[in-house]
Amino acid sequence: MGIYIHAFNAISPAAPFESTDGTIAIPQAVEGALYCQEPVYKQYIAPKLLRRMSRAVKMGVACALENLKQNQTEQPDAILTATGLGCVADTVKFLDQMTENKETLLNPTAFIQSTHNTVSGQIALLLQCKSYNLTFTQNQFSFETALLEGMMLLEENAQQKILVGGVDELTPESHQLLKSVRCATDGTSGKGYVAGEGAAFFTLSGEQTKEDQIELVDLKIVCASDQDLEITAVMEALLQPHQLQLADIDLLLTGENDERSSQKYYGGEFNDRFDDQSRLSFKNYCGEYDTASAYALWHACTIMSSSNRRTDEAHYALIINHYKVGGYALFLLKR
Amino acid sequence: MNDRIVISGLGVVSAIGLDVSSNLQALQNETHGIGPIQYLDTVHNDEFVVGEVKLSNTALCDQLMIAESDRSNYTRTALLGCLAAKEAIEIAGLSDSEMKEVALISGTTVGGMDRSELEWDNRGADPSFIHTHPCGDSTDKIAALLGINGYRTTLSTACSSAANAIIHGIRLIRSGRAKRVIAGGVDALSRFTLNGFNSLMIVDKELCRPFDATRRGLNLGEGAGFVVLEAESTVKERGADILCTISGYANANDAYHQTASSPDGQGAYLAMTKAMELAGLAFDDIDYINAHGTGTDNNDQSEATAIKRVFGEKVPPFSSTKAYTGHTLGAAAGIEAVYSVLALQNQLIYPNLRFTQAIEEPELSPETTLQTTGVLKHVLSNSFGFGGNNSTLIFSKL
Repeated sequence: MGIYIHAFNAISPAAPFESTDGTIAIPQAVEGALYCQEPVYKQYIAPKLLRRMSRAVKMGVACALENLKQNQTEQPDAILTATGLGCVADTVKFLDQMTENKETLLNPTAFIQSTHNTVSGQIALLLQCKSYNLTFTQNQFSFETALLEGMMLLEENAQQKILVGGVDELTPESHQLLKSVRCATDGTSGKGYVAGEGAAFFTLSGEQTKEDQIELVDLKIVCASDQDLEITAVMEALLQPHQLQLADIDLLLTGENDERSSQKYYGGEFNDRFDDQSRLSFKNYCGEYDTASAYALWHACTIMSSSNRRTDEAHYALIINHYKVGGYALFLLKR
Repeated sequence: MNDRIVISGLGVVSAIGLDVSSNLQALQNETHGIGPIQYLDTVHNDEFVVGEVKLSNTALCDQLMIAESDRSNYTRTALLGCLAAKEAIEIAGLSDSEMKEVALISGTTVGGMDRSELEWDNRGADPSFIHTHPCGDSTDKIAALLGINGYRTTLSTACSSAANAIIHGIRLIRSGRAKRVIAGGVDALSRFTLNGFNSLMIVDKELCRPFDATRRGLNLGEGAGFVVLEAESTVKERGADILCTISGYANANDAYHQTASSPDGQGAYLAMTKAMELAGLAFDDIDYINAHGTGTDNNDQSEATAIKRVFGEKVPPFSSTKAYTGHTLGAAAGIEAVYSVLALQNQLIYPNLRFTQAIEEPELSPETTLQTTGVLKHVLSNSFGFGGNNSTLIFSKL
C-alpha cells in the first residue's frame, strides 16, 4: 500500500503562507533567529478566539484549516500533531504570573492554553471533529513519531484521511535560554545555530487521487548511539529494501546547522555524491527547532511538485535529520 | 497480525506505594495516600492536600543508583518514570538480549516542569533546565537509565497521555514495528499544575470525593505506571507469564470545550463504545469500570452520564481510584492500567473511597467496599483530558 500526500502547507520563515508559486528563499536571520512570515489569521480564525491564542496555536490551527480546505476534507479521520516544546509563550506567561503574584490570583487562560495538545484540541473544536486525536512530543523525533502513527492508521484502513502536522514557536525567552546554554548563536560570534520555528501540516491517505501525487515511500526512525551509526550507511539501509541507491536520489535535504557538534553527524561519503543543485541544508530556511523536519517535508513536497520538474520519470527525494541523544530520522518521497 | 496483545509486566509508583505489591496492599486495605504537602516547594503547602510519592529526589536517586555528578540532570518526573519502568521490566523478566528489542512509549503532561519552575525564579543562574524541560527528556532519561536503545516517543494529551501511549505501543506491535513495548506515563507534582488547576477552581482543599453529590474538586497526585506489552506468541516463546490481554482501546474527541467535558459526555461515550466494539464485547460483558472520576463537578457528571448512556439500566460496578492516589495527570492512565490488571489478577473491585451520596441525575453509585467475590473477565478503564481528549482501554482475562 502506498501513502500519498494529498495536501501540504507550512507557515515558515522562508515563504509567505499565501504564496502558491513554489518560490522559497533563504531568509535573513535577525539576531540569530528566524521567525515565521505569518498570514493574516482572521481569515481562518474568528477574532474572538484569536485574542486568546498564542502564535503556536494560531500557526498550527491556520495551517491545519488551510490544508483541509485545499484537499476538500471537512472532517479528517484523525488529527495528529507534534511539538517539541509545546506552547512556550503560554508556559512562560503562567510561570511569570506565578513568580510575580507569588502563586496567588492567577488567571487560568495561560495555563489552559499551555497544554501540549492545545493545537490538536483547538482544531477538533473548530471542526467539531470527534475523531482520533493525538499529540506527540519527543524532541527532534516529535513529528516523525506522529507521522508514523498516521502511517500505521492508514495500514489498518487505507481509505482514511489523516491530518498530521508539526508546530513549534520561538519566543524571546526560549531564544534567550538557548543562547545561554550556548546552543543557539547570538548572531555575532558565529558559534551555535540559528534558532527557528514553524508549522507544517499534511493530509495523508492510502488512496491515490491524482496521478502525480507525492508518495511517502518510507519513514525510518533510527534510535542508536551515534558511535554505532555512519550516516551514509544509514541512508543506504533505508534505500536498499526499495531497490534504490544514493545515485537514484534526485533531491537530498539534510538537517545540519551551524552548531559545531552538528557537523560531525553529517560527515561522510554521501557528501561527494550530491552537488548544490541536488542537495540543500533545510535549516538555512527554517532555523533549528524540534519539528523542523515537518518543514523539510513541506520543502521537499514543494520542490517536487513544482512545474519545471519532469513528471514523466520517477523522482525521489530523501530527508535526513539527526536526533540529539543519538540517531537519525529519514523520509523517502517519490513522485 | 492476529496475535493478541498481552501484558507481561507491571510497574507503579504512587502516593500509596513505591511498587506493585505495596500499591495492591493499600488498595485492599483501603489506605489512601493523600495528605499535607511534604516535598513540593510552594506557598500553598499548608493549604492543599496532595498525593505525593513518599520519597525525596535524593532518596529516589539513591534507589536508582544514579551517580552524584549526574543527579542534577534528572527531574523528579524522570526519576519517578525510571522507578516504575524498571519494575515493569523486572516483573516481565526481560533479559539483556530481550531488552534490545524494546520500545519505550511514555505519556506526560508537563515533563520536566518540576525543575524548570524552580530555576525560573532565578532565571539565568542555571539555564540548563532548557535541556530537561521537554516532555521527551524524561522518556530519553528512562531509556538511557534502563538500557533501552530502541524507538521511543512521548504522548502529551493532558490527562489521557498514558492511555494514548499504550495505544501507540499496541499499534507498534500490531504493525510489526516493535517486538515489545514498555508503555505508560509519568508526572511529578509541580507548582505549575497545582496553581493551574487551582486557578480553574477545581482543586478540593479537603480529601476528594469522586462521584459524590457533595464533591468539590480533585486532589493532585504524582507517580508513574508502566506495562510491558507483547504479542501473545512472543511471551509464550520466551516462556514468561501472561498477566492479561488488552482487548480493546479507543480515543475520541469531545470537541466541546478546551477544558470542560460536554454535558452528554459524547467524547467519553464514543471512546467507551469504540473500545468495546474493537474488543467484540457487549455492554453486559464489562465486569468493572475503573472510572476517570477526578472528583470535579464537571468530569464526574459528564462521565456518569456517558456511562449511563453506554450501559443503560445495567451499569457494571465502577469506582475511581483517584480517591487513593489523587489525580496523577499524565501518569493516571498508566497507574490505573496497572490497577486494572491487578483487579483481574486478584479478582478485585476497588472501593470508591469517601462516597456517601449519589448525584441526582444520573443517579449512579460506585462500589464503596472492596469486592473480592466477583468473577472478573473484562475491566474497562477511562482516561479523559483537556482538549476534549477521551481514551478507553479494556483489559481482559486470558
